[in-house]
Amino acid sequence: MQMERLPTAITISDLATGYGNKQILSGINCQIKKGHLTALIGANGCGKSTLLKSINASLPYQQGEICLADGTLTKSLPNKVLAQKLSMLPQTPISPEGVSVRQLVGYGRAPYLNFLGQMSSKDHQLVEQALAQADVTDLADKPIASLSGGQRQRAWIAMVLAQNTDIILLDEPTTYLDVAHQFELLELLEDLVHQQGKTIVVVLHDLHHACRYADELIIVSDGGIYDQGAPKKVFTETMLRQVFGLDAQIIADPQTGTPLAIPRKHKLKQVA
Amino acid sequence: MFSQSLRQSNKSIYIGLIFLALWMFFAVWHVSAGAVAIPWREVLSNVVGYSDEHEFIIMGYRLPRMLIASLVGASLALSGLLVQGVIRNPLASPDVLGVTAGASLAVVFVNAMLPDIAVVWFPVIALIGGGISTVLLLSIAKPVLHHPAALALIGIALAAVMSAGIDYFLISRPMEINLSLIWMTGSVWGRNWSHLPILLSFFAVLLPCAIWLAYRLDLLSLGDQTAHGIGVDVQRLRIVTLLVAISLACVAVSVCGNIGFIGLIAPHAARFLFGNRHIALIPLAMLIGAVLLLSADLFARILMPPIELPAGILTALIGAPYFIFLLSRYKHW
Repeated sequence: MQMERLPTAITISDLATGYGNKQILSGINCQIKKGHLTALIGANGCGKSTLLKSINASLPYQQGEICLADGTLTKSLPNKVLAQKLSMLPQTPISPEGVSVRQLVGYGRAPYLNFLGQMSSKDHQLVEQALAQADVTDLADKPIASLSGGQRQRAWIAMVLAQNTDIILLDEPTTYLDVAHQFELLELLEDLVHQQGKTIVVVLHDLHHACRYADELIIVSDGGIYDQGAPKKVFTETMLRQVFGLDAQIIADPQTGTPLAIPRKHKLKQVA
Repeated sequence: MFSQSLRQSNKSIYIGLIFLALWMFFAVWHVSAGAVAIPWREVLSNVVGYSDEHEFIIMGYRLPRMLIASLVGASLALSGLLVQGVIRNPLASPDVLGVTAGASLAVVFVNAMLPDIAVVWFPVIALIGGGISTVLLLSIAKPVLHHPAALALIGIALAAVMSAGIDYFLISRPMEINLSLIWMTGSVWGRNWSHLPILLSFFAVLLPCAIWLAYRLDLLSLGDQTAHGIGVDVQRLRIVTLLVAISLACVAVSVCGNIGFIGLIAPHAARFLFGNRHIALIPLAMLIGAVLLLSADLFARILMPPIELPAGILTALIGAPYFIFLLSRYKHW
């Protein structure tokens, strides 16, 4: 297949990690393809966020290796260098008091700045561009702490965009967003991947979003990888039952032809 | 589009100038007031060298005391600012981390064991004590270094243990302990030029460190995960900042004893007035700290002459209610 020939952006081999003595992930082997939108899906607590944290080296891992395309280990790079190659939006970032949205987005430029954080005109330009992309230009001068959950989320996304890295990791970026903004964000991610050649790994809760927008799914289950591949290939009724404990029928999305899970109503089944 | 930040920095400059004027006001008053009242004009002309009528009092006693009070206040404030920045907890300060208690315990201990020891050694002993309590804090707190509230709690527990130690020495050896008793309540009394070089040399090293850390502390306010994502080495930043903050607190304590609450109030007030860009907060917090200790020492001297109260009692009188006010408003348990 053509897809298989795409170069890899991140290679994870034999990864095992956890918090303290509690093992969360083990025996993880997978490749994140360059220029792909990869979605991580799986039940709550299966280790999706842990996998992202391991990739950006914020969580030390006990065993295995995570390498970038050029073969360097992510954990061996100084943080500032890593942050020029790879950005990450964590699940619950802190919104500090008294910081405006523009200031926050400006922090996304931090990996490129000196110790005083002085921005050049090019940095300012990238910040304005990121504000526009995430649709928060109107909110730019407002303090982040005064915004609603969805507005904050968009401001955080703008910060990650301002970081302008080839690889972007997002942990449930659609949380708090209303339906329109959810799809707007997903379309934006699609554009970033297909027009600017970025590599994006995103944890998504909504399986419909994942199937519709992702080029590839990585299905995480019980601290391991259940399956990996194009949605049409790996998104099956068996998988839904085994990984999510969900009894569902799969039909094709009438617009895109991607898989769409329709859960079976148990009461109806009992009657039948 | 930059007009907002421009206005912000203009406002910052005005506030800074107001506090600078306030500091100068208290500085002159501090030097002029006392058993021998010296007119303000006399003070100023002495400092610029036009007159030498009161040179002995001014140059020998009051000017060094004024400068030391200012510098100690400033270093306590800077220490508190750094600690609050790194723990992301407005309730944190060097006293909360148990550093000042560790320094005090060391002095009381040595004083009880070697009653004849010269006062000159106090700073050195305090530094060692503060250093040991820092190492103790860091080694106990290492697994929870990423957890601001836990770090503060361990600091409070350490401080409690050390206070118990101080009480033990005070009660079991009351005869030997007089000197450290005065020192412990925090006083600028009897400090002279010989203390300035210690203070200044520490400042010369630690202030540039603080400036170097400032922007990274801004980034750390976004949380560990995000800060890591934008290139901050969170663990290292936290340790380096704590070391700088604790050294500042130790050197302040070693000169003037346990002066509480300045490390808490000054950075808090600065944040309230200035927002949270550390590079701007550093000078403002230091100025506020200097004004606080200078005015506390001034009122301690002139409130009921000829008795001189320790300045630490006055800072506690203002600081403790403020701390309770903060506690009652703090929501992020």
